[in-house]
Amino acid sequence: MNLDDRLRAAGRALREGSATQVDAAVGLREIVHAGRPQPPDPAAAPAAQPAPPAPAGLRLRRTQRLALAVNLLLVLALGVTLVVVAGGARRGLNNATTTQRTAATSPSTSIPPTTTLVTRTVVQVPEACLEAAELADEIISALARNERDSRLATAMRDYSVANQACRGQASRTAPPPSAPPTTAPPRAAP
Amino acid sequence: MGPAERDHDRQPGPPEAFDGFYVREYPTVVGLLQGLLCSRIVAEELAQEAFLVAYRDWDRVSGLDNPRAWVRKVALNQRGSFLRAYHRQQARERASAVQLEDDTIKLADEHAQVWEAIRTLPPSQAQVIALHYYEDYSVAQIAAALGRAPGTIKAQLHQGRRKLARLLGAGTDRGRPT
Repeated sequence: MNLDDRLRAAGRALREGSATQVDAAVGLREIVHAGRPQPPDPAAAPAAQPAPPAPAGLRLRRTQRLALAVNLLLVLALGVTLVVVAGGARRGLNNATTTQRTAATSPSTSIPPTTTLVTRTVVQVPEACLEAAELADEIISALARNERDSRLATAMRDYSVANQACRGQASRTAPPPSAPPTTAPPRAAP
Repeated sequence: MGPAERDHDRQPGPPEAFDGFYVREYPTVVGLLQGLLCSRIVAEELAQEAFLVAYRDWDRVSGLDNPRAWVRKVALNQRGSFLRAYHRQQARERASAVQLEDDTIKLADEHAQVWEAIRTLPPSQAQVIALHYYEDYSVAQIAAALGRAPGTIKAQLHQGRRKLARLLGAGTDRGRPT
């Protein structure tokens, strides 16, 4: 018997087996029940026959859908709660800040709101210090990799030079101790 | 029964009732899925799902050119359920898990061996082989049922048969698929 005949014989055998061994009647009842639209009020039809249970797969899907809906609702509720709590906390913080600022800058409520000036301080870093920092990074990295070769020695030598130059430049550019602070204090409104 | 007699494609006249369609086609669809999945429980589950889809939209489905092929396509393609079950089954067979007695359609050993070999094929080839040898579908009918090109079906049929010949130790001397 060649392959084609074997396959056809196997197909025929399975077809005959399925025709004799599979009962379609039970499945049809389940389909008709599962596919029927549910009545709005089950109590309205008390005389109806008790319906056969839905197939296991359908029951499972329904349960899964219900669980999904409940989970979504819980997540939504949690999100809303968090937003409300965070909003309340932020409002409380803002109120406290406003109260403190008002109390600090205006003794009487008739004074208009104040404007606060924020001054950014720009720090000039000497070039040699940047170079020293980069060389230090390089040295640490080489030591971490345990690469103790000529490059490490060169980097260490360069670092010493850059470090000394950095100290020298920093001492020249540092403001005198009596110099006024670089940030202006908040100016109160008249 | 030849392919022509078993081909219940749409006849001229009013669409048939769902009950008649179901009673006639359900066992065959279960058999098809059981052949591919080796689990009658899973096969019945998937077949039920497919027929439920057909039932809910029966007004439209019964008006199609070939509701019979449509329900098979749904059974074989329902949202990956079939593929998941197929891969699970292949893994089970590789692990030689014990098959439940009640979970199969009883077949003679020689036929069971053929279906076991079919289940080792990739799903697309197994589907094509099953539709050709179980349903007696032609290449054109399989192409229409699975929504693939006829050339693809021919190639899959050829590859599937070659692998089965190797697995079953049989010759592939046969005519070209129609």
